[in-house]
Amino acid sequence: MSAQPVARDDRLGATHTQHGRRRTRCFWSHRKSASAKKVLVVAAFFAVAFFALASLAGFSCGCLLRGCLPRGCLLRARFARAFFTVAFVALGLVHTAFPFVHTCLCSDRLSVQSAASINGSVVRSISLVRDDDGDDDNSYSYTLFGADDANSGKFNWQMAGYLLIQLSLVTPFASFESILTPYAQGTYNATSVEVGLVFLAGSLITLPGEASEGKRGKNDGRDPNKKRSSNHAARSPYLPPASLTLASLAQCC
Amino acid sequence: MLVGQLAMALALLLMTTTSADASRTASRTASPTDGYVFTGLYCLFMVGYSVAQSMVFVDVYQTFGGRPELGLWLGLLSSVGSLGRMVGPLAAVGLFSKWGAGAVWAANAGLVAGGSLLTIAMLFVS
Repeated sequence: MSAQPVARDDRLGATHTQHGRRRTRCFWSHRKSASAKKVLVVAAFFAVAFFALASLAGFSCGCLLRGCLPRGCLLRARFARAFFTVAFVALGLVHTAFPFVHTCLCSDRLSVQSAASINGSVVRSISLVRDDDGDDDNSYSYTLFGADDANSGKFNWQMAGYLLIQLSLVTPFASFESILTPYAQGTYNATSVEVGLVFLAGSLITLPGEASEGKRGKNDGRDPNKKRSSNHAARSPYLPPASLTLASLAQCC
Repeated sequence: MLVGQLAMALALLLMTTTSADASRTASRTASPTDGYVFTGLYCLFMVGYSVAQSMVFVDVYQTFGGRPELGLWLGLLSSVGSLGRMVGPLAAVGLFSKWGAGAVWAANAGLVAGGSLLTIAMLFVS
């Protein structure tokens, strides 16, 4: 299979023109050597992990030192505030950086597995084109990421739009959750059980929505490769309904 | 995705109205009906959020699926989500302590409305 594509370069060009696929390259390009990428990913991961562990250790030491200080001591309040702030920032950084590092590690592994190239162009997909004239000269159709892409190295505005949309979705959700309890208790005199029930209702009602979105993604029939999108949609990292429902139940109890 | 964003914005706008009513009649004890209305709006918000959030990932997969940099984009998407989870509570607590819950709902409604406009713009561009 590897010899046949090189022999049909004219077909490659035609397919490439037909599909018109263009590849937006970034610093994380697959053309960077795999070892350099691995070093970057591992270094970033260990830096983040070390920072988180150090700040947690600092927080623990601060709590211990704070216990040794007398009540009413100004230093005691400062210790608590400083170490709480450091731990909060560190955990936030871990929370922010870990998905990035994790998916970069996964994509690194995937790109190594699927790194096929023909005459310097990277193959996106290969499909067999059957020839029924009986002379056994079936050919392959290719979709390539163009090596001479005009957008190479440019910023992707569409992805920037998706990032802003994601920010505009998650920020209200997080702020809503953070003040729901004080708001409900202050305005409606809600007990903790009632607040937990509100969380439970909100989590339960998302179950049909998540399921229907997953089903929609699975049956869109556009591309077999898109099946993964439905699975990913059902595993959205910011709203795992089952875990949220369990958390709400735990709050109720 | 747009439907989910509009549901979120509608729920937040209605919450702004109800919280303004509650602040005008601060002395009155909130009736159980108000609590049910608030729970209903919260459920509407959550439905909109879950639909829109799922569709962001689905759209990114359908737009960039199969490209080598897909992992980078998904990682950035998750990181931006985490950033929102950091910034959101900090901003909400600041607004809530200074101007009350109505300011939080209004700010969130504005944010979601901005996201909806961006979605509409991206639909037209693509």
